[in-house]
Amino acid sequence: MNLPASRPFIGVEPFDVSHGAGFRADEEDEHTVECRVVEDGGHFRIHRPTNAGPPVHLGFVDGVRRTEAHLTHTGADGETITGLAGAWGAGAVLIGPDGPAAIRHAEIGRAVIFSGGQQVRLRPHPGGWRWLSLSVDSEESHAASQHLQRLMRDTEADIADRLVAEGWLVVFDGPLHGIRHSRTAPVVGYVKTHHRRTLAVEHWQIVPRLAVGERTSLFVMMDERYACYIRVGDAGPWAGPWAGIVRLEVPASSGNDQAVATVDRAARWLPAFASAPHRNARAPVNLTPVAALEEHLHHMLGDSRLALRAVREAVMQHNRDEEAA
Amino acid sequence: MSDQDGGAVGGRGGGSPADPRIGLVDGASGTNSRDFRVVLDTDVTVQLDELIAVRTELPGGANVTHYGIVTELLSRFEGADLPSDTARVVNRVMPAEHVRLAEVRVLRVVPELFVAPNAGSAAMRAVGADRAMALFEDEMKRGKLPVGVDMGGEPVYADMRFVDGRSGGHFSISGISGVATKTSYALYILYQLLETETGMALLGSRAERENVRALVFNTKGEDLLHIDRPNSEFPGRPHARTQWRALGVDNPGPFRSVRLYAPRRPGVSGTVPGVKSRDTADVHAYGWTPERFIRDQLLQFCFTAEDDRSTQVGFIEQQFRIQLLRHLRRLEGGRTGAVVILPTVPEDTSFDPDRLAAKEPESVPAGAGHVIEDFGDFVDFTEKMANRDDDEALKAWFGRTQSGTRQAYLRRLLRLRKHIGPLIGCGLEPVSSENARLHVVDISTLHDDAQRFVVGSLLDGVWREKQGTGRVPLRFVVLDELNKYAPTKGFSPLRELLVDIAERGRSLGVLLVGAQQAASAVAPALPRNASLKVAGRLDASEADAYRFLSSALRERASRFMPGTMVLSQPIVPEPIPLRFPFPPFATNPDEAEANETGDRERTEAIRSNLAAMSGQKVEL
Repeated sequence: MNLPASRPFIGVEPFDVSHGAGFRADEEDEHTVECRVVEDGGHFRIHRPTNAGPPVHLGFVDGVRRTEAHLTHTGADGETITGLAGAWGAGAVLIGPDGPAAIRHAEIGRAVIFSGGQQVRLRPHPGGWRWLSLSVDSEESHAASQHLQRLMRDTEADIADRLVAEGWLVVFDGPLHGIRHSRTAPVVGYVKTHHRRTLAVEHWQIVPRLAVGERTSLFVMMDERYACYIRVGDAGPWAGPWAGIVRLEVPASSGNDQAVATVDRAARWLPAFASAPHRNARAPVNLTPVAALEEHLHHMLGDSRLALRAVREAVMQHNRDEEAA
Repeated sequence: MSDQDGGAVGGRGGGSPADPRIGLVDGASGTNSRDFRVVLDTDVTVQLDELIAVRTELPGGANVTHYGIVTELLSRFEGADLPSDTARVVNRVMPAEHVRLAEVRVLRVVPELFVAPNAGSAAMRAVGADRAMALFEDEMKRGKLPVGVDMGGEPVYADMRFVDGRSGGHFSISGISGVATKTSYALYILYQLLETETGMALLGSRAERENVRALVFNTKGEDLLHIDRPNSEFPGRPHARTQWRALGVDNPGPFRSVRLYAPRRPGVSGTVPGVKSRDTADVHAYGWTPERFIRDQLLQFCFTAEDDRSTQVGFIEQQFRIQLLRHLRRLEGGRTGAVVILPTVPEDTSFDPDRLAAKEPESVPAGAGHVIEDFGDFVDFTEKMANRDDDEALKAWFGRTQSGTRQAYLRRLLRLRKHIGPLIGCGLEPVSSENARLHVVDISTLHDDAQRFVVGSLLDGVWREKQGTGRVPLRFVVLDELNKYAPTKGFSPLRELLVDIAERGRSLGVLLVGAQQAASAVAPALPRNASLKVAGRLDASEADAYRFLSSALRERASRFMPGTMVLSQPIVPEPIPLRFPFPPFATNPDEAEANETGDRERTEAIRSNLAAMSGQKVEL
């Protein structure tokens, strides 16, 4: 186990380098916040929730997105603005009372998004490709891409809301701020990457002492979310101290007791879903059902080369139509 | 929102007759004109060998139907790509879709267009008219013979044109002894042909079918000497009755028109058949008189062992056989079939064996020459000739052979005295084709040499009889252990006869139902000329000889259970696995035993009735 050592030691990040580092919270980071501990009378402790049976009514929600073509729009005045054609998808893996884990609610969408308020309507392609026509007012180059991200997050949130309403404990891949409605329901944000220090140094240094299946005391983030750290899996003897640790977030509005119950349940169940290093480039924290869901969604998005070809053909058609008009 | 959502599959009616759909033609692995896969609907169960129909609309609107047979079934977790993922899926850690696939080999495309079925087309079970199309039943315009039931219990037919010699003929049945049920299958075919109305109707006009004959050689125990009795185990197998009914036989029973033959009891000069499990009155002793032996030129079938033809022995036999015919006379006042071999005959006597054989010999008194009343006399005569000190006579009877060769010939003949002896004698009758349709000849107690002699002599008789009469009436010959009579290599009159029958027999109406453990051990012309190839459990090392089976089917055939066979016939491009029902007739003494008690009781009842009527003892 990767306990903080009294002497210096070197660890290897478990993530494949293409995914960047899982631990990015350098000591000198300007974004550091020190959150208030709201459990155990303000003392920062380690909890080991006791095992209470196999998971039931557990759902994992995640989404994927892909920019399929970068576009430009050149007006009659010669002014050129940028946009993109992209696709997104989201879905859930449900662990019901019986039967196998199943992918449900998987859906995808496709859109042409231009910045600067420009709206371009592409005709559906006979191969079955069709695009929503969207625009963002901002003229920043990232605006269209951010909008695509928002479309994905909205779809994820819709699915999560639906599942929560049906009584599932929803593990939402990523921080919770995308969830709009389920302020009180059992929904857990699952954050794999540690961008900044969130706790006072003396608490922060306790976190790597977590063993698999243990969690820290709850603390409150930005007054709206409760959070704690848990170790979901062992990343191996070569790994750094934070490898295998994730942050769980629950809505603060659900109340302290509900929050404790929810993270306890999650801490008990999630280690079983931690991925194996040979299966996943972000093992162990990228959960097996989530990885499978992502693969499924990518598959549903279709072949990216075909998507690009369809965009080109639709754009050609569009330009011909404009000329004819 | 989405335009590429995969439509959910499943929730269908489950391939019931009302909704025969079983799934969709797999588009992920693609299709071709020979095979394709079907992604099975979740609530459908499909087994190997089921028949499938897929309708495809071609560009332009034309419709084609692909008929196929399921050759393999697959099941996997879609999304799992490592073996260890299996446990993750089962433990509900990893989501995966359980998909089941059926591999289908195309049997037929209607209309005959060489196209692949469309990916995504609905696949259905071929039932009713579709099933008949899949198995080419519509092409069997000149009659169809039920040759078994498929794995679903539905009848499978063979085109009669390939059974009765019109377009082809001969069955070749292969499989390991004991588990391949080769003889049982041959009898099943005979039963369908000779004992059912459907079968008889297929055999031609009234006169033609009345004169159909089958010759069955019994090679194991006295098993087939009981096929005219009910099988005592049959009533305990209601499923068999269902299968018979599916095959169009409502009241299966024992063979009704049967004559049984066995060699006479060894060491006894009379004509009492040597049987243990049956009353000697039920069985006819068979054999040949010395006159038949010489005039039918059966001496050639005495020398059929592997090494006989690689030496000069064959040459001497030929020479000796012709001289016997030239010198043959009937014994005046002698017992039926005894002959006299004259020491000399007129110079102008023919050397043409066929012309000589056709001539009725004159009768002469015993003193005119050497009297032959049995095989021993014949051997003595040969010995006497071989030891003569007369060069002219030696040249005439033995050709210009050395003394050593003559002695070798003699040695072989002496060795045969014990084996063939009981089969030659005065008053013996060979198997006649009269009085019954099915003739069972027991050769199980005979030595190999004698078995070959009997098979050769009887087949030669059938063959000669059919020369010039045309195809009908048909003659079926059931012969197990073909490799013994027509081995892959070598030369013997019997092997040549069988090859001749294989090649020309179908046009002359002599149809061989041959069986062997391994097709590779038999003269290649035999299995090659068989239109209907059947295999039961095969020896895995024998795979090469069974190219008519797909590799998957060959492997399966090495695990077939008794009663499961696979049939290849010319008009159906893929072999069809099938089963045949348990026989209603006894196929060994044990199965007949229980019934024998019943027979005895019945006999006893009749005896007492008769006694009561006549008031005196009656012998039955």
